[in-house]
Amino acid sequence: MFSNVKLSIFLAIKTILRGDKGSLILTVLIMLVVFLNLMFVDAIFKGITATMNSGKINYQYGEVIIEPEEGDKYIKNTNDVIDAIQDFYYVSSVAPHLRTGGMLKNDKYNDGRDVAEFSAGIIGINPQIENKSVDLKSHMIEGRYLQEGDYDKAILGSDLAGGYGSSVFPDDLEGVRTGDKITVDYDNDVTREYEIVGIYKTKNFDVDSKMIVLQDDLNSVLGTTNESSEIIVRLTDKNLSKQALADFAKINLGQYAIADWEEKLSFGQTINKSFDMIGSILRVIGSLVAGLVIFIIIFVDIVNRRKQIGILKAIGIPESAVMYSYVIRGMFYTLLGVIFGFMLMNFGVIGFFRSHPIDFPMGDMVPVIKKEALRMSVILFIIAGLIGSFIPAVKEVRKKILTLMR
Amino acid sequence: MEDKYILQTKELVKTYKIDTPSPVFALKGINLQLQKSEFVALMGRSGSGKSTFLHQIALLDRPTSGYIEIDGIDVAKLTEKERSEFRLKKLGYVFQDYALIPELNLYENIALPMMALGQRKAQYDKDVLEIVERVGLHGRENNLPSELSGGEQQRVSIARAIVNKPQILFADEPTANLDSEAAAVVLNIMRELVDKYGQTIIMVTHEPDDKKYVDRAIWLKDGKLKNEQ
Repeated sequence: MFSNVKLSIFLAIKTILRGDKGSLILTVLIMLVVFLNLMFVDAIFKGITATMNSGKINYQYGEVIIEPEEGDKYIKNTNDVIDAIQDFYYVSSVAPHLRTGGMLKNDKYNDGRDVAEFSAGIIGINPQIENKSVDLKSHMIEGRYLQEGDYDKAILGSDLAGGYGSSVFPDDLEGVRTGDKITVDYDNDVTREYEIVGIYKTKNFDVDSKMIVLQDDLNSVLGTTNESSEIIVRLTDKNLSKQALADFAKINLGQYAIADWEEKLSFGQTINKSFDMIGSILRVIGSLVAGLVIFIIIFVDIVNRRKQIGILKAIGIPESAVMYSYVIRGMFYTLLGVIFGFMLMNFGVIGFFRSHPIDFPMGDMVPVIKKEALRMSVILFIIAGLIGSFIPAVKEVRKKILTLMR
Repeated sequence: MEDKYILQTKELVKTYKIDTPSPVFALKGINLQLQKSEFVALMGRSGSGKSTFLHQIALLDRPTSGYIEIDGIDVAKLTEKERSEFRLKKLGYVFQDYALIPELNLYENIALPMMALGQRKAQYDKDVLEIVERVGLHGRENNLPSELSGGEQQRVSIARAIVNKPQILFADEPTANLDSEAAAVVLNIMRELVDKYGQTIIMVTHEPDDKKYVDRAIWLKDGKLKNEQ
């Protein structure tokens, strides 16, 4: 048995090393492309969900979000809450937001006749600490970010401003630009005029449909002090969110509704699961295609070497040794396909998309290779390779010597 | 049957398309005895059944009926695996088209049966090099078959066939693809194997001139033994 395997390895190595190099390169190239295809579709799906998730975490919810209990409008003593949670080693930054709504009006020609109106959410922030938690500053597409002392000034999301490319919203303010002034009729009947100092675009439609003003500005409208509608908590690692939930509950924050990003992304999680399912189906189909490709490659190889197989059998080389030599060759092609496919995917394709992300409606998408998905793809590909090379090898090697030698 | 024969056949029949209305009777009951260290030529016209007969006695095919005994063993009783092992240990083959493995060099082609027997290089190295010397290819050990002439390739084929010291060497028209000079070299080597080392050889040939190298020639006609000379 051992000598058979040794002989199989010897025959496989010699035929690979001394066989036609062009055929070898072409075969490995085909295997590479098949494996790349197997990984790419899954990486795209994973990239989409990662883009959606990171958009929500980075601009909307953070890793953990603290909100008032149902029935309460604000988190009281916001500064005390912030002081309490900032002590945890994994909390990297905290940003309180004040939220309200209002009717935004853009009198485009300042004549009171052609006024674009749109009801939108308004967020009050403290620019100094907001920057550490929510990076809108680097997403300004026009003008500048808010600064301390920017009273009666605001920045607008591109979907709300209008005229900044495709938007999922059917309506907007029909093209507000930096320097324009808009009027806001707040829900509590206060009316204010704001000068727009900048427009931002994150590609997260929930964020890009908001107006952002200074928290102090909004305090004066709402009559609030040391109160917030939500506190965004950023962690050093999003996987620590469950620990944060448990720790926050222990320090008497139980009176607030505290949720982590996973709870907030329940809709996204459903999409993730759907994508995972589609990815798995495509992986199985990809593996079947891979198996079929390997089958065809090995089958053609064997048909071309049928006489040689007959000779080997005739001189008494055991069938199993001949058969294993073809299976080893098939596995060699398969493993090279996996190795080069992974290298090309990781360093070529992903690298390319990192510098040229795909412009998706929900953000710039870069394909993502997950360890579990990669492991599954490799296992399926190797199984496909094993079966794809074993079947034709058994089928041909078991034929009669004279049939093979004809 | 007596043990002095290395090979015996009795009423050997091979029929093709056996279940059809017009079966082809390739061998019609051949009885043959072959002694040790004999060099026998199987001769006959194309279609006479000489190659078919060789395939049966060389265990490359199974006869429709009849008896084959090699070295005292009723080979019909052997399983496929046992036949394969039997071919490896007790028989040697030389084919018309040399039948070398193109990716293996001269040395590796010759050593292949020894590797299949599970021997290590240290065990077979001396034998292989000695046989290379014997067939006149010393110094060409690392050459691939494509780097050898037809005559040289056939000599490698003979070397591979005898490296495991077989009981019988079967040769199927070994000189058919060679010019007369190369053919003479090959036939002289085979003759030497018989004379010096007591090798038993059965060779299929259609060349009447080859008779001068063999101990006896057996003629086949229409699947039957015609006579012996």
